[in-house]
Amino acid sequence: MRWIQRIGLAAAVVAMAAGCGEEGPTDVVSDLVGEGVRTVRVVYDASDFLQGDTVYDRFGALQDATFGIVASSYGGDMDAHVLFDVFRPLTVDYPDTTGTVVRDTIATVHGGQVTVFLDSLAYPAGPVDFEVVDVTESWDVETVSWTARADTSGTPEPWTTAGGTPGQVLATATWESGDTLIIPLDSAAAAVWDDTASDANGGMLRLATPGARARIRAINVKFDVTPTGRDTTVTTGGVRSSVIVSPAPPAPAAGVLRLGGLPVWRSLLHFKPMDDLRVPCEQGSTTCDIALSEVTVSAANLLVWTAATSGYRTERAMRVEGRAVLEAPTVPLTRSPLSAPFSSSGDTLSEAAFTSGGSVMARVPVTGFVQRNSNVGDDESPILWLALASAVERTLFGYGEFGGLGSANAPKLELVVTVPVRKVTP
Amino acid sequence: MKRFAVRALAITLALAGVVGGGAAQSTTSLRGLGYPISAADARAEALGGLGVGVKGLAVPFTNPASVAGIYRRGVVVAASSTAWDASLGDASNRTGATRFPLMRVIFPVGRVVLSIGYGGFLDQAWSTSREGTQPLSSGSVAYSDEFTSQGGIGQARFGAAIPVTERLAVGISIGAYTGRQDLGITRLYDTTSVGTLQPYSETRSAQYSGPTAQLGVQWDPNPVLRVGGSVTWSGTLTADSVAGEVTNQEYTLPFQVAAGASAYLSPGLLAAVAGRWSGWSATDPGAGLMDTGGTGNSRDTWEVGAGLELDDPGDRSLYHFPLRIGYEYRQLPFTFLGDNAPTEWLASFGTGLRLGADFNTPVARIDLTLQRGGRTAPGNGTTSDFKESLWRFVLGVAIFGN
Repeated sequence: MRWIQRIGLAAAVVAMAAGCGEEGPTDVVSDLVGEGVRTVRVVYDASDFLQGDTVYDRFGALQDATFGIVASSYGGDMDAHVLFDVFRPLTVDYPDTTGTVVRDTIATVHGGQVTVFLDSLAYPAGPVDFEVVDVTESWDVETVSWTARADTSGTPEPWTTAGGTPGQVLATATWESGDTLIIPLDSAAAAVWDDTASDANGGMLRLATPGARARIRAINVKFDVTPTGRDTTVTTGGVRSSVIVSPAPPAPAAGVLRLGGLPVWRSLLHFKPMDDLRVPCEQGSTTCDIALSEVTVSAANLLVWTAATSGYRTERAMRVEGRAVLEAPTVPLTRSPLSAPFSSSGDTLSEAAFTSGGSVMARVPVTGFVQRNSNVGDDESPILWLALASAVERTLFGYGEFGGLGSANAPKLELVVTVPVRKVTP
Repeated sequence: MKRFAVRALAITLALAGVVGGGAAQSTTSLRGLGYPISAADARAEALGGLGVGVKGLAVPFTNPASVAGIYRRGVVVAASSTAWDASLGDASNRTGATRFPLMRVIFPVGRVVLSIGYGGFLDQAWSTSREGTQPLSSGSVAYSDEFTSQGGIGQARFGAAIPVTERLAVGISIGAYTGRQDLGITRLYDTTSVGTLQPYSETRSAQYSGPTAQLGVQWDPNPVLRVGGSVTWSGTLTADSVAGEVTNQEYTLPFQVAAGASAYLSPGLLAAVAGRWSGWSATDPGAGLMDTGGTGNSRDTWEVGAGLELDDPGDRSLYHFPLRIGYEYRQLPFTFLGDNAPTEWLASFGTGLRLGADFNTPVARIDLTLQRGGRTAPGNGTTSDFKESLWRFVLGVAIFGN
């Protein structure tokens, strides 16, 4: 009889193994089951969620820029020059008639050219006249500024003329299109830098067109030279270093948030604790609401509006990110570390958003920040400072300004929340 | 004996994890505390469902005295697979599920027959998904919702059937209701004008527990007639939160009275009839733990069933192939549409293989029961009637040792 028992057991096991089937979607149940959850969008005014803001420029200097900016009264208040240190070699390497590379001293300099590579993402508007100017005073690339040619000893040594004391204009050219502008140097102009003293002072690239600005990726100088004892012409030379000099931008006005630029500006928003924030039970309801802590925040965006920004406005498109300020008791607020950005999907603003027309809205995703503060654990403290920063820093010369607390275009907080219906129905 | 008891306990505990598991058996599991499961073996299902007072081997949880007279150790397991079509107005769906409504281990100790088992009690499994669009104050958002409820309430029972006389036995069992319900709600969003919305996901779970006890009797006034009856007391069912935001709750479970009889109309033809009353009106299910939109009422219920079986107990051959037909009518306790609760009918056809000449304690038995049934709940004025038609296949396996 043992085989009978085995068969029976096997049948039972097979029956169990075949069990536990999956239930498919049930339309009838869908009609019968309750609403479950609702989605509600709510927008809070600044006074509902903010208790203050502050703006600071914390780090970086124009010397850090890996690009150049030249401007002439751009926006009525911004000037910028690029100073460059010319490399005029004493010898030149070139192939002779047999193809062998030989090195000779330089006998004569016939001329040359300055090549300007423009940033194709930030072309200036319309034809722009560029000037290459001799600089007549020495300067220190590490400490030079618009007003001082050097500050190596703690005492600034001022330029005779702010922005780099100019000598003669060595060459000019007009940019109309394209990402490369070649400015020829005649032999007389090149000869200026053939002098070792002038070579050390280098040159200046500036705009001669008022109201124009250009961002350049690189600048280069080449000389046409003839080696000693030869009748061939060889190109040589270069730029040892370059630096932007520009007057310090104006301080931010009250009620303005400033982001980006170089040195880098950031703005800090001081949130109120979110315990008191409430959301409607359903979209449009004015008679029923529920605490934010009782719902799930599906999306949170800080809505900011651009403010008209002077000529120092960003030269490239800017995206704003929100990052939590990780306060520590012994660290000043503006030196506190920041969290990673809450999202990289915020709106991108072009330079035009900061022109006098301004007032363009941008969403800054801060979902994680609001989620963290709407459900603070018993052993946790709310994180009340949120830093607004440009998504890219140190790579923009200009900054963007936005309406701050107290302004007509103060930030707003947009939440899209999912409300469990069981919590809002008796 | 000790070794067998240990094995039996291990098997019972192992199967306890699957008894009552799986997907839903009816759309009505959505409401109240769920859909009542008949913890019966395949033979009892074929003979009207309740199995009270049925001659021969029938060991449903309905009567603890039903194991009286079994003189060999054994295991009885039932598995059922259900497929059903539901409709409500224009909505309809077809789905299915498999359950294990009963598992029971029987071990005689002298003249006393002990049993331990696990069976289903209330099924709470269901799921659905839907899509929609929610207007916002600016624009709208498309979403996809998914609701799932898994689990249910089972009953674990330890019982003893004690012969009082040659023809009369009483049974007693004590046990506990156990189980867990896990509800999940997920809302996924499409990309919107306000950016990417994070999904909403919520899981809430409750664990059930409560005591129960049964007293039963089985009487054979003469060789062709058996009468049985039982009363079931259930204490307060507590639902304790184990995950998510669930308010601990208590439910009063019904007092139940069951009675049945069976008799041979001819030497090989057995007729059985049984009924049960359950005081479910004492239960206030509220909206249930999971807020599924029901009105949250319940009512007392009647269940009646009858069946015929062709299987001659006097035939001493080794193989027997019984044939059975039966019918069962049940009122379900929890309101479904408005204040209306569903009713259920099941028509059964059964067959199987009985190995061994002993009708009460065969060497083994495999029973197959096919049921056709339906459930209806009247509409509440704003909705049409709810209808559900089903096919159910029940497999029962019983194995007895020496």
